Amino acid sequence: MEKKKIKVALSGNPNVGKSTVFNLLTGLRQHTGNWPGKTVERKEGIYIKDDYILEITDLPGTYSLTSRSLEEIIARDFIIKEKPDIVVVIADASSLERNLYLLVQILELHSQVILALNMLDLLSEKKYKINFKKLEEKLGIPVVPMIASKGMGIEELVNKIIEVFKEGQKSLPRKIDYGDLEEIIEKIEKNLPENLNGYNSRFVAIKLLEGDEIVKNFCKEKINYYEIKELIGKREDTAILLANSRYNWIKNILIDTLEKPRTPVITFSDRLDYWFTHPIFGLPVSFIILGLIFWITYTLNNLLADPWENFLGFLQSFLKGLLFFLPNFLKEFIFSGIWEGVSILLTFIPLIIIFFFFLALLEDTGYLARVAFVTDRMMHILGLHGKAFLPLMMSYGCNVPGIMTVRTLEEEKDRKLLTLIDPFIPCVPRILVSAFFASVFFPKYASLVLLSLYIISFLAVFISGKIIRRFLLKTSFSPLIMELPLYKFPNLKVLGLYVWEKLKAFLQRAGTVIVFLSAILWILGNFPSNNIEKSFLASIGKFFLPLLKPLGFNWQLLLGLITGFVAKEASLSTLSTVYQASGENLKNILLSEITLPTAYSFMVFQILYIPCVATVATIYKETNSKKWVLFSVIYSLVFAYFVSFIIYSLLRIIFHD
Amino acid sequence: MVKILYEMNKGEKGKVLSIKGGGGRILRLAELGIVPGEEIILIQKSFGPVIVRVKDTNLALGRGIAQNILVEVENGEKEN
Repeated sequence: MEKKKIKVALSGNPNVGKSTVFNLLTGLRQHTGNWPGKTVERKEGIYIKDDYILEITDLPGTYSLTSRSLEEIIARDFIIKEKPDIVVVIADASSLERNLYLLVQILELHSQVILALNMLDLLSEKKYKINFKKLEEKLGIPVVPMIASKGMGIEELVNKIIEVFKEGQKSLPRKIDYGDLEEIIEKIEKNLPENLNGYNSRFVAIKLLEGDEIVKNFCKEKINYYEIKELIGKREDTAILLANSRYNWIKNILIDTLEKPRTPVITFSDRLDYWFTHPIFGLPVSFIILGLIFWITYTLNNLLADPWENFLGFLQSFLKGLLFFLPNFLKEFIFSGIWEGVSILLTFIPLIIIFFFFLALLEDTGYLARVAFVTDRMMHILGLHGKAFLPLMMSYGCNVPGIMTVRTLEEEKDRKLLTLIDPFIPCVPRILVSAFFASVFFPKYASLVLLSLYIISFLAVFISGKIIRRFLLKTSFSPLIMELPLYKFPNLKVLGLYVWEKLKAFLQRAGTVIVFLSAILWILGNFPSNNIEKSFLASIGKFFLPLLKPLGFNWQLLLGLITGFVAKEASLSTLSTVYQASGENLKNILLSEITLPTAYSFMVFQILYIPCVATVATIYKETNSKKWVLFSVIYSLVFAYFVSFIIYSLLRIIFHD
Repeated sequence: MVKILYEMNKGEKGKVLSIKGGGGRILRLAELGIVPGEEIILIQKSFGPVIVRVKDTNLALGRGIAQNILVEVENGEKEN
């Protein structure tokens, strides 16, 4: 018998355990992509029970359904346009009043709604009591209590979904009484165009009163907007009045269903927050925790590097044996050209697994929000708020996880800004290349030289932040507004699935770009002759050399920079190939061929110029826009060029070169 | 007594009087529960943002926002 499909949408505020519910329901039978044309993740999955297939879509976590953030637009458009059979609103039972605000708006849009009350453990810690039966009656929709992190209530939710689907009654969406505003709402409704793109007229009227740009624009396209504009008038308090009506409706529901103790209980979260958000200790505590995570991540990654490389070598020779019948030139292309890209991709696997495990841990326990709180003041210097701290800090290890973390910020423009300035942060490989140069050319002052490079990169982040915000994004600084969720114990299954999703997304979406770009670079470096000095790459280097003369570079250095695009550490091996020397010999040759100002200018350029292939691929994956990738590459090149040029010119005057 | 939210003391409680700012910000704060008349407690202060409790939720608000919210602070002994 054919199974019946039930289209289910999961919606809810951020931090209510929505993704936990989604992950527990769908497990590995889920699929992550982006919403068409958007940079927001779209997660879908299925759950099969008896004769039913639940097709579940995890909507982005939102507090409301206005049009000011991509997430909210996506969530409401899904409910309106893709018409799920059932909308499940997941709410944090321990802050029900605020969580029901979203429910109210969804009730105005959809008639088949189930409320899942999650985190009952936190509710009992606060000594709150909910009368579920009465709540169900007053709301007129099914209520399912649950503790998702412990797997409790999931089964009941599924049963309820099927039950509601079977009943199949299609009543009209709920009406919330907006008091004095009802008259205006009715009048606006009468003036609306016939075709409302699937929205209901009451919803459109309410959104117009809230100043919703999307709804306003499509009304303007279809009718003379003047009359509606008159009706709305210049009152600035309508949005507040609407919000107040909704909260009053909620208060009326909760008045005899939610019982609170007379004196608030001091919770485990309150005690932890005394230290974690302490005005003086909070920041050092966060540095210690993050520093520890940073240290463990890169130590583990280094420990795993050798065995992992051996394994990859083994894999390579195994595949070579398997494909022995291929003609030589093809074998060469596959195992040097393509394999190089594949192995770059694969070397990121341990790093991404370890890093995202910790990130998931920080996020799931609730500590991540505290990091944003304590670093907020500091991040103002860069024109960003506290949520930008983690991506930037992680980039000091590697830009790839740094840029993958940018999506924890809410504002699209903040994300773009951060993605563009993030590559200026020198990752470990870049510092290694610079450290080698510093030890050759400035043996006594190597650490000072490295410090100066860190300062230059910090200034690059700072200045670019100002330039990009002012001239490109044209927005002002967006201040921190963020919920601090209660602390909770993480669920290992959810952490595992999170890491797996991140890894899969990286391999799939960044992977193809990395392999493609490195294959092209391999071809350019090996044709027409596999002597790199006579390759296309060298010709390209020589062609652009006059452009880089003002920075003091010779073509060997330039070639090093070009191959550094594949992986930053490749710069050094290229130099040793073209100079046909390594170790002490390479040092001596470099000392005789390159002046001090050139060496320093090279180091500066190397720190700032285009990030590596993997980073470019990650920027593409995150922004989903070729335009932004191209801009990022060109911007960093131009920026690196100017800074190096200025520094080189100054140094030449100082050194009378 | 009327105070700017940013200048309230830790543990002080009051009712939101008014919020200054553009429509977008006012709506965003409303969605998180900060509307005039709502009870608000200052939980934590720092050199930058503050933490407040509104409708059973702790919220971090940047300084720029906390300086634009007026609160009618309860007089007398602090509760709890």
